[in-house]
Amino acid sequence: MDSILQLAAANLLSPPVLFFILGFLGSVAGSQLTLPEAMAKTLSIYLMLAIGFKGGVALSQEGFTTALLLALLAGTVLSALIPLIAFFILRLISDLPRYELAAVAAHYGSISIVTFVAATQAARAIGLMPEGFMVAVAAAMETPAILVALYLARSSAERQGASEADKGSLMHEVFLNSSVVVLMGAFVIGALTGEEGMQAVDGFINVPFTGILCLFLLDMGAVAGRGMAQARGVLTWRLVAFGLIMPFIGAAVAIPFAVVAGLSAGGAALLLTLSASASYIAVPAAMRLALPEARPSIYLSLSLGVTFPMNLTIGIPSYAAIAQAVVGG
Amino acid sequence: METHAKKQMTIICEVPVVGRMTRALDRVGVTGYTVFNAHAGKGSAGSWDEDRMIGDTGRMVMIVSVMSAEHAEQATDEIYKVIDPQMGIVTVGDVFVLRPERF
Repeated sequence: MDSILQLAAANLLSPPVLFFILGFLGSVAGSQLTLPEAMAKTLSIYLMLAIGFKGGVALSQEGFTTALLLALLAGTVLSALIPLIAFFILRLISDLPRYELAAVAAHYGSISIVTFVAATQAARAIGLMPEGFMVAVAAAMETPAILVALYLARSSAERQGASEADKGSLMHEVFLNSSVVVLMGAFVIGALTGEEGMQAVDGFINVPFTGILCLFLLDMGAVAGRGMAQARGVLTWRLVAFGLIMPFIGAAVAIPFAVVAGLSAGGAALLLTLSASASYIAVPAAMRLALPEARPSIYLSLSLGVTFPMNLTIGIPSYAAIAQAVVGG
Repeated sequence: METHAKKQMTIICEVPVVGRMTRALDRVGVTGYTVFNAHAGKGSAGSWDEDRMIGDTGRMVMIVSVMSAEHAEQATDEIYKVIDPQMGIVTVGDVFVLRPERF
């Protein structure tokens, strides 16, 4: 318990999280704080590039191991399994229509890359060194949840007579959304160029990373604050409770997978965080195409206004402490 | 100078469905369209501002296409199938162009 509290305190008092809280509170208080959309996009691409590259460089030192394959498999299975659990729980606690339950479930099965970036930074800050290949695991966990959710919703795309080209384009856009392309592309470049490559771009990838993460999280805090303000009007207390508790259920489900895959404490902390996080960029866009009747005000408010801030402040240190307790290190 | 009557279709829709809209216009065979970024607005789902959003969900664009009356009729049917479950509006109006062979 002490270690959870220590980790939580260290996480809460780190500059990126404090800037997130500043943005969040400022937005809740009514500040008009916002970064221009193009800048927020640039910062997000930078973060994906840096974290992907670092993961690739780490992989070049670790080499290809069985753990890599097991972790990829674990991530894919978790991404397909968690929406089923989320769907079942939502059915018990809410009277939302089936397609809306499926849309919310997809968000919880998929992942938030920003939460992953913040968790990687937090894990390194407390001396846990996650495996580099966790970047690839993150990318692998983006899409299976969407496919499962479409199955759960009984493919409303078919009901609306969407053409084959439309369905193909949905999967194409999900697989090739910009965060996955940059993350995986930088991961491959990092793996190919290794330590030499890192030396060449160290001043760009490592030195400004935390500062840029602070700036990005300041904006994300403001966005999350607005999401929470919206959540007040549209979410029942049961849904809010779901948004707070479901991440811990996802993380708990991931524990045996982390152990079987043989991950280090750092890798396990990231797998738990990925399983706990909820998408608010890639999946909402996919749901607007695949399940347009489902209201973004429900799923976006829940993932962005409730789950994301909880994960960033309390969730990440909890998952790291659980990973340390289970895996050791 | 002589002008020629054509139809102008204006579609305001969410960014994630732009591909479906433009593919529908392509299927009909219209000769061109232009997609404009919309910065902010208000509709039945509330007001929005692109700088205050994250991701493409809820972000809107405007697609403008000038076409013949025959194409406009077919395009209306095709676009309706796409926009029916989505947010957005579609209007068709009369316009006059200088170079009719382009449409």
